[in-house]
Amino acid sequence: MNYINDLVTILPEILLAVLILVIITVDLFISRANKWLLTPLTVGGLIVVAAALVVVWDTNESVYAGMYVVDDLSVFFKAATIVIGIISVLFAPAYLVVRRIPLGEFHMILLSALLGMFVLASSSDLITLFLGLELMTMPSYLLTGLHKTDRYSNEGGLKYFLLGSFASAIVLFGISWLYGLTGTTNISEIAASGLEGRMSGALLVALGFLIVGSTFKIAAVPFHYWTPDAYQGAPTPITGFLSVGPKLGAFALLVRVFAEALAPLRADWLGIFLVLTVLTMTIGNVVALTQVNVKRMLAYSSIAHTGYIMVGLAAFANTDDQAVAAQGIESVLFYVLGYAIMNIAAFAVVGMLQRDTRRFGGLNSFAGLGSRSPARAAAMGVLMLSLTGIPPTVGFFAKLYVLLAAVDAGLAWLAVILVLNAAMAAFYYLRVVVYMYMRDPEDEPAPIDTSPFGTVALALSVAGVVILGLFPGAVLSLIEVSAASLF
Amino acid sequence: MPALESVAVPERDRLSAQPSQPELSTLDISSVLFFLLAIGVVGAGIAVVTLRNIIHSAVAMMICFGSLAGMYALLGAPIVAAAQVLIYLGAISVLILFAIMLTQAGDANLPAPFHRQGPIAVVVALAIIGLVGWAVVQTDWGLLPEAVSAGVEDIANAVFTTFALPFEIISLLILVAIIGAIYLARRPEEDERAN
Repeated sequence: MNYINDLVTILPEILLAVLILVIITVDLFISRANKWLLTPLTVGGLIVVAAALVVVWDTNESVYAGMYVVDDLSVFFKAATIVIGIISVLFAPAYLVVRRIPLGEFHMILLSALLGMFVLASSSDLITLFLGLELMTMPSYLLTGLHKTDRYSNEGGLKYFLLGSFASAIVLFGISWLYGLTGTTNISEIAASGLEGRMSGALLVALGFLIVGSTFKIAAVPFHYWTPDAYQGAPTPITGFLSVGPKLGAFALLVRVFAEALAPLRADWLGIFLVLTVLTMTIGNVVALTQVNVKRMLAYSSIAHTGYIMVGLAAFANTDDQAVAAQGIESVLFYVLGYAIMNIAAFAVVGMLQRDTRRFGGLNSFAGLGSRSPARAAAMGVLMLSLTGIPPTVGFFAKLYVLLAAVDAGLAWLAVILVLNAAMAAFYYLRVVVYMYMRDPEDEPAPIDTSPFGTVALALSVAGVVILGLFPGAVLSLIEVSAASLF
Repeated sequence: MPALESVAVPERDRLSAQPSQPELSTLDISSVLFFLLAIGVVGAGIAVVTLRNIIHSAVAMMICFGSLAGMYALLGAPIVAAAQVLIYLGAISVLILFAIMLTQAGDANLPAPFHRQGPIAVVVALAIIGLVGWAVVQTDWGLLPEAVSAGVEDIANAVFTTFALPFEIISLLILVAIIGAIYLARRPEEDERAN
């Protein structure tokens, strides 16, 4: 055990932890007028962390007595985490400052959530995995309730905290059963412990608890009831982060637990997983159809997107062909990345129209945006097209890869359900576009936020959505290498 | 089965200095203790969620924590038991009692907010208990003949070698929890001043 050498492999985590401490300290010493400096400081720090990720790419080592693994899959998840972090940090301050929410705490808590996602992605032991999960979700509860003087934020934060704690306990209970059955918490040892021949009541209980707890974390139906309230209550740009950040982490958890530790049992968990996938896609979309509040509509549609991503995992589980299984994981990774960029940006545009603190993201705020702010309306238009899945945006390719993986794995019926759902989703996404370009502005139109950070982040996100849509090749080849480290 | 017995006897002897895991077949002192502590944990746990007076709930929780500490001692993990007493029974329970006393104005009786869901909750809880109990009984757990040693030295070794990384992660988790708790508990006016 050479822990000093192992330090190099966790360089990104160390730098991120240092960045958290730097932010806390700097926040103490700068005056209120200079708090905005925290944002460029955080973004700069995250770029340094990203550079450290380049250093550990292609390490593929198990470190710290098998507690942690730095494989390409984890590095990909971490890179996506950095992207999410940078965009979120740029979008949020303008919204928070108007509502007098302290920026120092926001940056620190957000960075902690990112660190939790790092740990989650790299866990090769269920103990580390659980700690990563907690380090990711604890800050998420805080972020939801960050707007202390707003009772919707209080309500959302409390609901998320209570239900999330239960889900964490359920995951932990499932882990303890798995430990009881295999005598180990190490993920690769569990995979090699020959569970597949021994389907028993205890294994069923362990699987049940793990599925319930982890699908709660990705907000799959029927464990999604916390989502709309938590997402609506949270400050809007933070909702964007919550709808993708913890979800990315939870998918990393699903990959580690179900596609790695419990891969030998995939025939057993596939059935229940398919039911959840179909329910999640369909119910998320049906409820999103009826929403007239864009923020709430995006919250429900994020449930539907969870369902689309789950299709990729189902494709992984439904095949014995390694190439097809890898394709399933690859489609999950690409979808998570693309979805992260477009969804954070979409929530951020809703937030930009809430400069007036009495606005709650209603559809009417978008009326006539095409004439009032052509650039922002065009950006929102691109994001809506991408969320619908229309070429040449990243949303189209993400859906296409998931569909291809599902068809190749022999789940053509699931692919058909996905396409029907995507068609249904087009209605509520394009309705926003209709409001922006074909309705007259309200008598008292919502003031628009034009802070430089937000504008830059929006431009970057839209560029990302279009570039990843036009030239997905480079990212796909990285994803291929990442997914290969699972097999 | 003579072979089995010849193995079992010396183990008994070796373990007699240290309390062993309870065996359901023999009604020795450790199984009696186990059942008493189990009643303490489960009974007090039910009391925590059903009692209407929040101070009564807090006291029931102390009983639950204390019984759990006894359970750890019975399983041959004295250091875990000591930590349970120090941290949960000592620090956390007292903090909770103080927090209640400082924040409660007047009558501490609260209406039960989930009252109407009570019957359904009981049915669901019983179903899950039944399922879990059935799974426990019908599984061969491959138990070790004796409890693994969990003395101070073993735990110290594990924490600072195998579990060094998780140990460090916990410190960050606690840091963010502390900062978050302070932020949420602080009055908005104090936020203004702090900025």
